[in-house]
Amino acid sequence: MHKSNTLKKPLKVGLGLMLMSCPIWSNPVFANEKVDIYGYFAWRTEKVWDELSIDQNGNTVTSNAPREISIPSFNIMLQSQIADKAKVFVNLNGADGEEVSVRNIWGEYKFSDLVNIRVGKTYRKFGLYNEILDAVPTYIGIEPPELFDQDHLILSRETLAMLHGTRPFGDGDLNYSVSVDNGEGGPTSEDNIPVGVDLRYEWNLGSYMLGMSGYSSNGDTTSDVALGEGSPRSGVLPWMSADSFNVIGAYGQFDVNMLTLQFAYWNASHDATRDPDSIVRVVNEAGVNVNQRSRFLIDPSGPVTASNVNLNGDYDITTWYVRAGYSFFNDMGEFVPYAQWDFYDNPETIQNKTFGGDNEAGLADDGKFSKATVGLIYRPIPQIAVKLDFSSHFQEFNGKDESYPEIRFDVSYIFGQ
Amino acid sequence: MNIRFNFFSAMAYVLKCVAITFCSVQLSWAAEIAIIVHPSNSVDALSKSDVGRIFLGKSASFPGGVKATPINTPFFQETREGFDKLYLKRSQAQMKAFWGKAMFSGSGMPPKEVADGLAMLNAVAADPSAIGYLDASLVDASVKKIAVK
Repeated sequence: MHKSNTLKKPLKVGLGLMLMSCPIWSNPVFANEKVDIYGYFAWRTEKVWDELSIDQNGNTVTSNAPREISIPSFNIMLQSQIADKAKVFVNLNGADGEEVSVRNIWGEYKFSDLVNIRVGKTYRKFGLYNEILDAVPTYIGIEPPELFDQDHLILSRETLAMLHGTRPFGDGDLNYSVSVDNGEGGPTSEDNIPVGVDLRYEWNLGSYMLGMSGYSSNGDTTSDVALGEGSPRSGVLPWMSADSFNVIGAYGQFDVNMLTLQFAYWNASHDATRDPDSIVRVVNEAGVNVNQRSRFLIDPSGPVTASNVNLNGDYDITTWYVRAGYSFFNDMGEFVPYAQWDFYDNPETIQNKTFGGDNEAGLADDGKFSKATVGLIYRPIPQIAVKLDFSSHFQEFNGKDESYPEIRFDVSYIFGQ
Repeated sequence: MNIRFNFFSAMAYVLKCVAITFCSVQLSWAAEIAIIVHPSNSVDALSKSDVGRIFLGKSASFPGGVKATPINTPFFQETREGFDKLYLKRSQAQMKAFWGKAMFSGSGMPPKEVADGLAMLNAVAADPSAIGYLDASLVDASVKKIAVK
């Protein structure tokens, strides 16, 4: 089942006009309330060199990928405290100059510090990045972790309802959240309700934080995209007929003077069943490597038929990262050099993104890759960020350790802050 | 075009730059910062932690339950930089990141800002729930300076 959160063309033009003339400005209910509007524009270009592939003779060959230049995108956010204990938030995203999508639209009521209920389309609290991922490329300045790379999400980012709160504990604050799910394709035969949790402890006024997050599909579920329709926006691969999975991990962040250190470790355990007809299509049309073929077929050298498909699709994803950024100023503005190391292991995925694969883990023989990155953000004024970073991917390919470089250049402008 | 770069050399260079800068950074703020409230406010003293929690949006009231409205001066002003470092334990960049996360996730908005110390004085004097800060030499009878433990 495919779910789209994109506003189609008839709504596109109207949306901007609606925002500009929105009754929120004139409605007496909101007359005395402040509506904060802010967001950013961003533009990116990136290039990969020495991309790996295998020629007809079975030898590794490299080629340079064409440079990718994105059309400037934007996020516009509205936040309003509509009453002492109630607020609303809207986050609109425009990408590729074509469509506007509603990333978030929610309302929240605060019963107490310990009990807040948020209802609507919202990013769940999960690790360091999920809630702020939209702004990461432009503001925080460090690339999204592999956990939330849009080509291989290990769980859905969104939820429809979330209970969260905080209470003082020792010298700091203990924060929790419990969320339900909106991102999977839906339950199969079971009427299950997926649940996500997050627990984090902050001390030294939040300069130091340690936390853990978890998620359970709470039974079998399916992918949110059909096979051949691209990468899923949840944790289920599109060739699974059923997948019951759990994600758990821990993370930390430390702000020490002008240095920011972050780390996280995640594991997703899948109890999955492959769909035979989908696997036949994947093997025949998507281009799988030897290891992937061996996983998918009972007899890898046998015929590619439904009866030869290995239905047992159990697998584990493991990913972790460490990253550090250091901010300093001089007469020219702010400079933030940063470095990070990511590791990601997904033995089940394939390279072909059209079929729901992942061009990084799916490229590797064994589904494992590491990525080292160094970069620099320069802000001549606080509203403008210019970012340049280099990554090198390391993986086993065609039986040998190989690497290839990638460079990214971003420019962004934040308004309304 | 076939560009290759020595990744580890690049990383070593960046780390070297960071190390040199880290060693050369000095805090320039030295003047005394006064924490001020409206004269009608019954609060006479706060802990550093209380001040920090109010200005980070972690607490919306003074100890005792009276509503607190924090007021900031703009980023990178000398007093703001000193206040953030001393009471909120963060650099200006980290504070911008902190409020960026709050704004972009919808979890909060930064306190109202006024242009300078004089504007701070006027803003706190005009609002019974206000709490602000300024260079101690600027404090006058229109506001109440509170002790910070």
